[in-house]
Amino acid sequence: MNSQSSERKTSVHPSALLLLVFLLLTTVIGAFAQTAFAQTMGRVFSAQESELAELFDAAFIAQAKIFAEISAIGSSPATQAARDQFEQNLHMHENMSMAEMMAMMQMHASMTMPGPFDELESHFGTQMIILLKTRQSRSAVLDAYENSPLPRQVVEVLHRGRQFESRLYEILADPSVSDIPAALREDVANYLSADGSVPAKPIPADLLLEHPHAGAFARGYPKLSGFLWATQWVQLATIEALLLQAQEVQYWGSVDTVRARFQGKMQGSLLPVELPMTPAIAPTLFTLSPDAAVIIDNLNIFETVIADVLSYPNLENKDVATDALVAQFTNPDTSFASTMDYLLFALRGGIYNQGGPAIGELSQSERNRSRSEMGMQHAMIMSTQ
Amino acid sequence: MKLFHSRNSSMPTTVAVSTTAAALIFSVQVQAQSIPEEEITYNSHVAAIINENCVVCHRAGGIAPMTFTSYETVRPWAPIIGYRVGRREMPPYAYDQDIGVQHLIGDWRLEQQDIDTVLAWVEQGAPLGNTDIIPPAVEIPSLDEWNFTESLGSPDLVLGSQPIDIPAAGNDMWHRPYTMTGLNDDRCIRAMQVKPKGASKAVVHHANSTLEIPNGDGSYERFSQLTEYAMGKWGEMMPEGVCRKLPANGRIAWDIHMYPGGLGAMAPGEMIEDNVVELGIWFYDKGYENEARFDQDLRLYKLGEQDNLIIPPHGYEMTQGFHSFDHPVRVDSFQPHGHLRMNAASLEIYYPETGQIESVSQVSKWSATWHHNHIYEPNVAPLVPTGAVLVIKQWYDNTAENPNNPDPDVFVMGGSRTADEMTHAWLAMTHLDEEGYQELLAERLEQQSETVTSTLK
Repeated sequence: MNSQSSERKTSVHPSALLLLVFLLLTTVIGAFAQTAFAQTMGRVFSAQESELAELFDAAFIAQAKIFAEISAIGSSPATQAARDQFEQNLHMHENMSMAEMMAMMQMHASMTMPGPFDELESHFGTQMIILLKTRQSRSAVLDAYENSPLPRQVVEVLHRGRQFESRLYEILADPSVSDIPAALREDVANYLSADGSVPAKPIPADLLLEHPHAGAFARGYPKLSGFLWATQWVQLATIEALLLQAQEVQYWGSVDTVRARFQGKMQGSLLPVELPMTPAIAPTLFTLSPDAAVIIDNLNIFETVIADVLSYPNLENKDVATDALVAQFTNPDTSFASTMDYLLFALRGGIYNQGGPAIGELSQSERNRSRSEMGMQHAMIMSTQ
Repeated sequence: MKLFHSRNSSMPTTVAVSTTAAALIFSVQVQAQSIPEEEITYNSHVAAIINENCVVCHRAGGIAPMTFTSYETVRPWAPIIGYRVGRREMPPYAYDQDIGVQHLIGDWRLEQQDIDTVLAWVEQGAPLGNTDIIPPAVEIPSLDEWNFTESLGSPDLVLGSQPIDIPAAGNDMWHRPYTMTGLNDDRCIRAMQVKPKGASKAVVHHANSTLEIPNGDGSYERFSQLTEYAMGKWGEMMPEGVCRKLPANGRIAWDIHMYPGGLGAMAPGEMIEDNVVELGIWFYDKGYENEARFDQDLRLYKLGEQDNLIIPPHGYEMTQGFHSFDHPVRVDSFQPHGHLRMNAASLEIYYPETGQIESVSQVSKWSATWHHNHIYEPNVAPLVPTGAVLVIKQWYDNTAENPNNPDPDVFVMGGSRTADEMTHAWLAMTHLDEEGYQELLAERLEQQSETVTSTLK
């Protein structure tokens, strides 16, 4: 036994040599990427979770393509009639009373309503499924936003967010990081140190739900919004899985579970109908580093709000609207929601509706009332006599 | 500070993690008194507490907005659960600790030990624990089950209001049908519960029932208030030795207020058909009416004239009601009533002979969402001598600081609508005579003596 142990210590397996060479190479490339093209996934995460790293790269491209596609649909003469109808529907929604909205929600509770561009969405959705199953080249990742219709400022916020998230996955995947909270604090501080960062304080829910073009993405593109949110879900669920795997043996293999669940979503099961948020899908990250959790949520909200603007039919000067959003989302002095309001907002979206838990089972919605109905708490009072 | 498990280890280690989340969330006063030091997990400790105290509402179709029936649904809510439980906001039974009578029937408040366990679990990162440990199964009655079934069986009499179809969403509606009791003999009521049936829960704000009896000329006259229901009310129990009478040949006059869609619960479809409110009544055995020495009644006690109630914009108001009796009474239950601006209530007894005031009950965080009827355990229910004065106080906050206030910019007046205010309380009272009062006093003294003796032993 002793001699065997001794051999193990002194001999080096060929595969270990290969790994060493790989790590050296990726370190060099990684260092370059950190400075210039940090939006690609990091070396440790890529080495440890190669399939997920590839998926995240593909998701980054998919997100860029979704923005491009809804812009293209929104400016195509062929969709003018559908856009006009969609605009009318949105105006009708905006003018609805809460009771009317509830009645409508009840009528449609069990139905999946097709969007106004259903055929185009379905066609594009098929392309997205293929894209997300395909390994993407490094150049494809780096050029994802090369011809994007999004203004440069928006792309910068997205790129910085991608850098932050990429480093976060590195920390969680790296077994040599013993003090995860400290590493996350450093990551947060590093991210916040430059312009174009969203704050580490909760953006008020109104910025998502009440802005002038709110809901246009989900109503106009129910499939594509589901895709975008699914890519956000898998990123959050991976964080939860990595954190739990690091804690207890019983969670080993959780990352594989997450990946399998995402593949299931791509095959049509449980696409999110609400924007996934950290307290619901990655609660362990919120417990460990609320700042990191809030940054990720602010970034994901930012993506949806940008998509709302791009989706809003017949809207002139979309660049002006998106520039204003960039200013709002990157303003460190804006007013923020309290932690309690943020948590309630995040959780009222529903765990199931946001894509379901990362680990464990949830076969139906856990919500008895929807998020919008929760706004009716003042009416939940009775009189007597 | 909390413990975070080391990588790839099933044992907690000393990797200390300071979480801003915990600091942010627990910056409020959390009344943890003794946080356990052992590892607290969902499967081993917390699931039992949640299953026993929360799932009755936090289940599919329940009155709570979300379910807490599994770790997957509970874990994300852990920080908020800790916050609410630590402040005793959940379970929702607002009743001040350490003031007045604390022994109540149907008291939802958690034991301090359970609160400490929940807080420790949240502090430790809300872990699941050993998956081989199966938490105790939840045994809860169906949503349509009567609350007293477990202790008293099915009701002896179920009286339903006239069915009506109402829209699932719409404006305030009132429904005032009559229901014959069908009783041929006088009976003493042991317990009562009013329950909107099925989907009606989504629309019924309140339901009052008044008992009327024939007056001989074919018409009916009021006999007494029977019971009052408002959302969140559990039911009423009458103590042994007293009789809340349901006379023969009476009828129930209902006053049902509905707010379709306004309760926030989902009612399926566009119409709720056959909307019915049911009154379940459990009786004492026949013949008990001859044994019971004293009558009990439920009455509305005013705090001034409701029509005079005016709360200014961004202002406060406090009302007081004073009630005394020409005979001794025992207060069996206390249920303050108000609407959106009311936020506190209390019940005191003033003794004119000594000038002393005794606190009976105080509810400093009253909310109209939960109309609890605080039922005092019979051996501690306040005994009120002849001439002593019941002092009922209620407080109103029409400022933006009141989280239930929909509009602090308006004057609020006394009235019936949800947006108006009310100022009264429902008290169940056993009407004693001097001899009975002295007997009960003597029993109390004997109990105290026994308690002291057993403590000394």
